[in-house]
Amino acid sequence: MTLCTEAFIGLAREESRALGMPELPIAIIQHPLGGLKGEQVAQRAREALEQVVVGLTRARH
Amino acid sequence: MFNEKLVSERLTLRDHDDVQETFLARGWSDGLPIVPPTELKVRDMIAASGLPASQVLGVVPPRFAEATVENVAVNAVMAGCRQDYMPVLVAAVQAACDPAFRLYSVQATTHPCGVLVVVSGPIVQQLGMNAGFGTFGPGHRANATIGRAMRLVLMNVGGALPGHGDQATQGSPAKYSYCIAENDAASPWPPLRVELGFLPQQSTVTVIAGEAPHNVNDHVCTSGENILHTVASTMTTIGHNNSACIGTGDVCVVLGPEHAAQIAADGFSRADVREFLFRHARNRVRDMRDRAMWRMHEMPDWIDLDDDDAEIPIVGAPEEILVLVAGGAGKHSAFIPTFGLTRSVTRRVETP
Repeated sequence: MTLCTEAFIGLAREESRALGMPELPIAIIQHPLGGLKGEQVAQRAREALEQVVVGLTRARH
Repeated sequence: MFNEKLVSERLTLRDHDDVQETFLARGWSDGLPIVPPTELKVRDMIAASGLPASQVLGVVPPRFAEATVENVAVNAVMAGCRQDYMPVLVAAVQAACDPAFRLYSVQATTHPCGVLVVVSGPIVQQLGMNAGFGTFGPGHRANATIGRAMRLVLMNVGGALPGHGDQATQGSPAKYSYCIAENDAASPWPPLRVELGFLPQQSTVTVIAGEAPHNVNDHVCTSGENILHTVASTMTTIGHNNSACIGTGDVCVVLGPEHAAQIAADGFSRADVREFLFRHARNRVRDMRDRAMWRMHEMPDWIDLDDDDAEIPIVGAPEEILVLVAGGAGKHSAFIPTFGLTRSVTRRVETP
């Protein structure tokens, strides 16, 4: 499971393929993350939560 | 060797314009016209390396693809290299793929570092490289095309394309072509390659993940110490990576010959220069607190980050400041900050 912001999704997918993990679940977060205050970061985390749950559990479906 | 099977994709294209449009559309160009890599040209370039086409020189991230003599030769032809440049390019690619260089980070970072290729030794004259006026600039085939070929390998083999693999926020002109030669004749000290343990008669390539050069203009100093104060001042800024990445990499100072001569005439050895710059190129905690890359990376524990007056050097030790001499007449030198989390790597150039 990997999280990254939308600006870096191309690199993330390239790396997952290059390293032999093309099916790696990637949760995508709105960019930027850097410079946000605590509550804003927490909001990003809440928004990503569903993707994380799906990403970590989908192999079991 | 001339009968070796080559594995590169073969394209049949109509004419020069078709070549340019196709290579641009396929994402194989740096935006400038390329020299068509015909099979004959590529085979000649491979032969000039003295190595088999299939030999792997290293693995190039972010694609983690193998750089082979063949695909490096293809990019060398595209860049406009002469065949006798190939051994330098081979050494440069091998050096960049060394784990100490941390090429994945150098390629993918949002930082604008290019890969500076510094050539030192007899091969500088043999290839007609420029180590004098305009040393960082255009006008000399070897400097221009070796640097360009390096970038094309990083893009075409490694997959570092702007915004797709190469995440540099703004990039840099240093990413087009960044290759210089050390000016042995103008250096008052032994050449960099000798300092690094090679023999004077050997030639080397050093790769440095450097920003474009920051000029150091000192026209009035009549003492070496004062010139070095100007150099140190140029090095001391909070906005480069070395302000916060201490002890994890090196930086580079390229002294112009006139500055180097004055510094050496006042009794400074290269080691003295490094020691001076290490002691004087320092930011203060108060200038860095909550700015730039404050606390993004571990600092050495001998720096008291609770003391506003504490000094922060830009490297962890004097040895992490590379010093060499290049350039023509005039009172200018250059400081090259780096990505910070990378160490320069030097390899010998092996000619067939």
